[in-house]
Amino acid sequence: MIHIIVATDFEAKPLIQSFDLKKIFPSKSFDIFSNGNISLTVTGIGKINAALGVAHTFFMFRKQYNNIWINIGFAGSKSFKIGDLFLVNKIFDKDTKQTFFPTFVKKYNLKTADCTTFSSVDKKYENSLSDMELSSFFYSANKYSTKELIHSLKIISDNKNESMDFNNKRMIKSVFEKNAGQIDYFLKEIKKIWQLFFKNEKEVEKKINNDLSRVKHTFYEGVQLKKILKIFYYSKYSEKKILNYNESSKVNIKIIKDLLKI
Amino acid sequence: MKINTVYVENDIKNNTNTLNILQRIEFNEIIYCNKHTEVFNPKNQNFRIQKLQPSLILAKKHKNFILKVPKTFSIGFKKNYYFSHMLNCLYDCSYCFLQGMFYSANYLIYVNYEDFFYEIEKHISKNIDTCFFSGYDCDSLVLENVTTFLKIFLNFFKNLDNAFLEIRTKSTNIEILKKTPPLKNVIVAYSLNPDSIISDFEKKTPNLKRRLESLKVLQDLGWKIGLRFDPLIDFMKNIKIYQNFFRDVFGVLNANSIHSVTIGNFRMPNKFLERIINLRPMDSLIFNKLNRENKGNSNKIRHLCQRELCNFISNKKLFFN
Repeated sequence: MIHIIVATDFEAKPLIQSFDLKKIFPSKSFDIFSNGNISLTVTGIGKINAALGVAHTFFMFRKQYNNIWINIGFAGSKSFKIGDLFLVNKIFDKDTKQTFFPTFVKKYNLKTADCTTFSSVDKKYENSLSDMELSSFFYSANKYSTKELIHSLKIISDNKNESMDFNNKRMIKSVFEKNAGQIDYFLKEIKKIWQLFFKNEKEVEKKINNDLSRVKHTFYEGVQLKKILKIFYYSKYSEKKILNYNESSKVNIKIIKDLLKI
Repeated sequence: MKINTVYVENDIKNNTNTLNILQRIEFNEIIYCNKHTEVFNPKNQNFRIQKLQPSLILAKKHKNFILKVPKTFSIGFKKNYYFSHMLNCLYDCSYCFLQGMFYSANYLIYVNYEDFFYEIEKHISKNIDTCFFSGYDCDSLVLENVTTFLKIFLNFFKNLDNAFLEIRTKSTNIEILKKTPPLKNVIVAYSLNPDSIISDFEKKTPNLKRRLESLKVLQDLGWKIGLRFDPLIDFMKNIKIYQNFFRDVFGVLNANSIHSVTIGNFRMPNKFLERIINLRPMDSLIFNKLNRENKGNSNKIRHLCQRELCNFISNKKLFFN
């Protein structure tokens, strides 16, 4: 699944329309939208909100590790044109001085830039893009997924000479529409990587959880069973119906070990 | 060589070796960082995904240049150390311990070769031969066209007394060795396995025939060569395959002028094995079996291997690591 994290309603709206997302999980804390494949969480502005929003989304969507996490939002820039889209390749937290590096395993046809995250509005416009969420989004999403699947797409909202009018909904919509193709392309590319490495893993995980729910086990037996079921489901015997749900976990562990000769 | 992203530490961005390496590769973008550990070390990155297209990291090494090898490890020298000018490898061997040791598959090159020289010199004794092993955390030869590691280190070692260099490799990129007069204190050691094992376990590596051709060329040129039958994979089950393989190897090479032969089982610290199994669950059954069987049969395998290899080479040149 792809989790999109945005700070504000006006960044969310065009994406909700574009991906045909419906509001779910009535929540006092965060507005969350989804179409089953993509979720979008509106976190509010700032680092604490971004981190909380990521954590809230993770728990709301059944604590699935190694999903795709994308932060999409506006950023300031010294000289880039309003409406231009960038894939962030380096993140610097102005407060903690920590640097994070999103990992790229292929060349994407997108412009790249580094981004500095501030705790309050910054109008000095240094060479880096500037925002108020990205460092904590990346840090917290990296608790739940691998770096290669966590990225940020930033659209320039203001520069040294001019700023977007955030009350002008038509303008915001047209800026997103202009970049919709690139956003869509990037999400598809990242999803290909996810499918290559995690699609099968998720299916195996489902089978193991189903087995564990049907065989009585202690905590320790559960750990053992999980471990050897994983080996079993990735082996050439994976299609065999091996578990006897009426038997104890000890018996089942022995059956699998005998079959796998381990 | 094409690289998508190159990370360069700010401290060495003007280093000559850095600039030379950047000139030798094609890359999409450079990103500067303060410390390579910011890119290489963080947890929650996936070695297997990064193997799709590793980035290159150019960095400066600050400490632990020269490390002791395990006590039981030897090719006949009393003092043995290893060093790594690079971490990670172009090849993709499924049994490789690096994927259990590092979180990142990115290629990390330490560009401050001169600091390695200084540290190597400090570890040399006047009256005892010391061997320095290279190519345990990377392949020593395969990226020579980018790093010129060997060109520079051969030049350094040629002036050293009592210091030997073992270059461990699977690569057939031997141009630099062909161009350089053989050095008496350098051993070019090839990791070898039967072709069926190479195609199943050693992805992206040259096949046996090509490795043997390179060894033969180097031997004929006068280089000291070493054979590393390491790791033996499922030796007890593949014993016939290994018998034929040993015959083929010694059919091509002159056994009398081989410096040393080492044999090593598939061995893996449990912590690394767990990580590798998580990364490559489809290989978990074979790794579990290999680990268990080798632990139980280690002496038997050693005895059988010794018996086979002593048909071709003196027992004095044979080491079990």
